[in-house]
Amino acid sequence: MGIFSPVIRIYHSLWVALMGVVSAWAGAGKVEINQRHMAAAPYIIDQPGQYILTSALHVSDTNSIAIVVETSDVDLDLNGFTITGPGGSSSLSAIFQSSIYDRLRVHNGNITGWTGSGAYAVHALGLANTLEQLHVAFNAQGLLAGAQSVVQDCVVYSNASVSVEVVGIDVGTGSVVRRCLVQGLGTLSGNTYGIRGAFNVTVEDCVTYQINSPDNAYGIFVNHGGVVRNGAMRWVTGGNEAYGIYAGNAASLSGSAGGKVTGGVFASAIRGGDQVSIQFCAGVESGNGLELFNDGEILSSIASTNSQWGLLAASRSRIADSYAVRNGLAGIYFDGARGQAFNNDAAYNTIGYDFNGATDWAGGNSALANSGPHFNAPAGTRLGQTVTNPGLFFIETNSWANFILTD
Amino acid sequence: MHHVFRLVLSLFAGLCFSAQAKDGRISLSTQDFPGILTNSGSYVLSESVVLTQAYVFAALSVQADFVTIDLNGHAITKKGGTGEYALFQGSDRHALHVRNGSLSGFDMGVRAGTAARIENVRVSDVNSIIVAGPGAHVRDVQGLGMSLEHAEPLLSAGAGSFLDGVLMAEGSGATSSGPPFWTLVGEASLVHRLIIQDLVSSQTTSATVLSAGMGSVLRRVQLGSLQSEKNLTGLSSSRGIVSHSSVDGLASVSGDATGIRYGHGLVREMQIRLVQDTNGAANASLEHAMWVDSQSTGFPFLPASHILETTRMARNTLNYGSLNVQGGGSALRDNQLNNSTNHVVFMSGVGKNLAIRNSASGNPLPMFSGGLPNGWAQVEAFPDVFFVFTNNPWANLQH
Repeated sequence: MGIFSPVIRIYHSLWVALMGVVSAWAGAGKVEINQRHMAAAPYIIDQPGQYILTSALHVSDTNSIAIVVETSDVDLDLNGFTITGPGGSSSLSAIFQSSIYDRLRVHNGNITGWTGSGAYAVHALGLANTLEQLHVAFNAQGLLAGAQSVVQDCVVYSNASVSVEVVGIDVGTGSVVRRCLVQGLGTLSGNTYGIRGAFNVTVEDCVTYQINSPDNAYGIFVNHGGVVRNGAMRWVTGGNEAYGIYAGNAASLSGSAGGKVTGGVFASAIRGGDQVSIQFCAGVESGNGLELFNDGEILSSIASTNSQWGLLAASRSRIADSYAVRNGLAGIYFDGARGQAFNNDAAYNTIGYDFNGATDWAGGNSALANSGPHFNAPAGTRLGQTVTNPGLFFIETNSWANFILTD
Repeated sequence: MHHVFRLVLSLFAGLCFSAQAKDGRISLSTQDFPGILTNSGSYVLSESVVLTQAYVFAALSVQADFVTIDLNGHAITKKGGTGEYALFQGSDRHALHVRNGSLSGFDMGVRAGTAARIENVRVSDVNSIIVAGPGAHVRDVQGLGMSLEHAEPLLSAGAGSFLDGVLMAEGSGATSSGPPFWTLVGEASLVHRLIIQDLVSSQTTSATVLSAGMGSVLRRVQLGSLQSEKNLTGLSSSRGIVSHSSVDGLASVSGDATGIRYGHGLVREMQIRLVQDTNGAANASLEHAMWVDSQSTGFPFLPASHILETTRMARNTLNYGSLNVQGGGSALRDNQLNNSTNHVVFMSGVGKNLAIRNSASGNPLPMFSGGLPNGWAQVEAFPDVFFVFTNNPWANLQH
C-alpha cells in the first residue's frame, strides 16, 4: 500500500529545489505557477497567454492576493489544485482582475480560505470572463465576474462567517450562469445572494440551497431583462425578506421551482417586477408562491401550500391556466386594476380568488372547496357569472362562467 | 525542460511510490494501488490498474478534502476476490473530483463526501456506481452491469445536487433483496438528461426506480424496460417540476406498477406507456399535482390512472385506461381520453371535482361515473360535421 504523504514530502523538497531552473512548462506552451511563487505573492500575470498551476498554492500573508491578472486574454488552468488563503479578516481575494482587463478564463480547480469580509474566491471585474469547473468553499464570497461573462459548472458552498453582504456567484450585465450549485451561504449582517445577476443575465440549470440572511435572502437575483430557466431554489431564509427568485422588470422565468422560502416580513418563492413572464413554475411551502407586479403573466404554473397567497399580481397582469391549492390566504390574488384571471383552478385555499382592485377580469375559472369566499370580487370586477355546484351533466351557456364546487 | 524532468524522474525512480507528472500533478501507477491519499492535491493515473488481491477496501481511499483524481483515460479494475470501493472518501470530507476514465469490478465505483464532482466516468460491474453527499456535480457518467442485490442505491446524491448526462443500464438482481430506491437524489436537486433502462430485479420488496427529493427539477428523464418482482414505481417526487420525460416499459411481476407518483408540483410533457402488472393496478398516480400538456399515449396494459385529490389535469392524452379521481378539489380540463374499456372517469371520492371540455372516444360505457357534489358538463355524444353547441361551451364530447 502506498502511503503518499511522507514520500511526497521528501520528493517535493527535492523537486522544488530543481524547479529553480525551471520557469515554464514549455512543452505545453503554458507558464507554470507554483508554490515557490507565493514566497513573493502575489504572482502577477502581465502577459496574455496560458498559465497553469503545477502545485497547490498556499498564501499565508493576510495582506496578499495569490494571483493578480494585469492583462487581457489570460487562460489560467488551476489543474485540479487548490488555492488556499490565509483565513482571518483580510478582504483580499485569491485571484484578482481589475475592470480594465478582459477575457480572463479560470478553470479546473478549488479555492478556499479567503475569509475576510468582502473577499471573493475570484474577483474578476473585466468583460467577457469565463469561470468554469471551479469548487469554491469556505470563503467569504464565491465568484465575481464582469459583464458578458460566463460562469458554468461551478460549485460554491459553505462560506465563512462574515458580517457584510454575501454573494455566491455575482455576474455583470449580459452574462450567463449555468449548471452551477450554490449551497450553504449566509451572513451575520446584510443581504445574502445565492446567484446575483445585473441586467440581461441568463441563469439556467442552477441550484441554490440553504441561503440565509438576518436581513434579505435571495436564491437567485436577476435585474431587468433577466432570464431564469430550470432553477431549483429551496430553503431560502431571510430575517426580513426572502425570495427563491427575485427578478427585475421584463424578466422571463420558466421551469423553475422554489420552496421553503420564508422571511420575517415578506417572502415569495418567485417574485418578478413589471412586464415579467412566469411560465411552468412552481412555488410551494413559502410565504407567497408566485408573484409579479404590473403588466406581466403567470401561465401554466402551480402554487401549493404557501402560508399566504398562492399566485398574485398587480395591475394589468394575467394569470391563466394555473393551479393554486392549499394556500393560507387567497389562491389567486390581484392587488391592482384590470388584471385577468382565465381558466385557473383554485382548491382548498382560504379564499379562492381575491380581486382586491377594481376592474379585474375573470372567466373560466374554478373554485373548489375553498374554506372562505370562493370569489371575493368588489363591485367593478368583470367577473363571469359564478355557477355554484352545477351538478352532473350540467349545461351552462355562458362561456365566461366561473364554477364553484362546495359541500 | 523535458530533459530536466526526465533527469528528475530517473533520479527518483525506484525511490518513490509515486512520481510527479510533467504538469506538477502527482502521478499514480500500479505500485500505488491500493493506496491512501492523505493530502489535498491533483493526482493523475499514468496507466490502467488491475487489482487481484483477495480483499481490497478501496483502490484509493481519500482521506483529505480538495482532491482531484484524473483517471486520464485509464481504468481501475478489480478482478477476483472482493473490492469494496474503487474510490472512497468519507462522508465528513468534501470536494473529491474524479474524471476521465473507467472503474470496474468493485462493490461501488465512487463514494464521496460533500460537493463531489464526477465527470466523464464509466463504471461497470458494480453494485452501486456512485454514492455522493450533498452538492454533488455529476456529469457524463455511464453505469453499466449493475447488481440489484444490495440495499445501497445504484446511484445516490445528496441535497442540492446536479446530475446531467447520466446513463444507467443493464442491471439485474437474482435474489429477494434489493435497494428500495434504485436511484436516489436529495431535495432541491436538478436532474437533466438521465436515462435508466434495462434493469430487472427479483427483489420481493417495493422499489422506486428514481426518487427525487422535494423541490427537485427533473428534465429529460427517460426510464425504460424496468421490471421488479414486487411493487415498482418509476419516478417519485414532489414539490418541484418534471418535464420532457418518459416512462416506457415498467412492469411488476407480482405487485403493483406505477409509472409516476407525484405530489404538489408540476408535471408536463410527460409520456408514460407500457406500465403493467398482474394485479391490474398499474397506474400513474398524481397526488396534489398538476399535469399539463402531457402526451401519455398508449397504455395497452394500463387500466387506471389515479388522481388522489387536488390535482389539475389539463391537456393530457390518456389511451386505453380510466381515470380514477379520488378525493376532491381536482379539475379535468381539455383532456383526450380514448379506448377505455370502462367508464373513462371515475369520481369516487368526496366530490368537488370538476370536468369540462374533455373528449373521449372508443369507450363502451358512459364517460363519467360518480355522484354529487362533483360536477361535469353535459356529455355531447356523436356530434356530426359542423356541429354547434351554442348552449354549452363547457361540454364534454364523446364519440
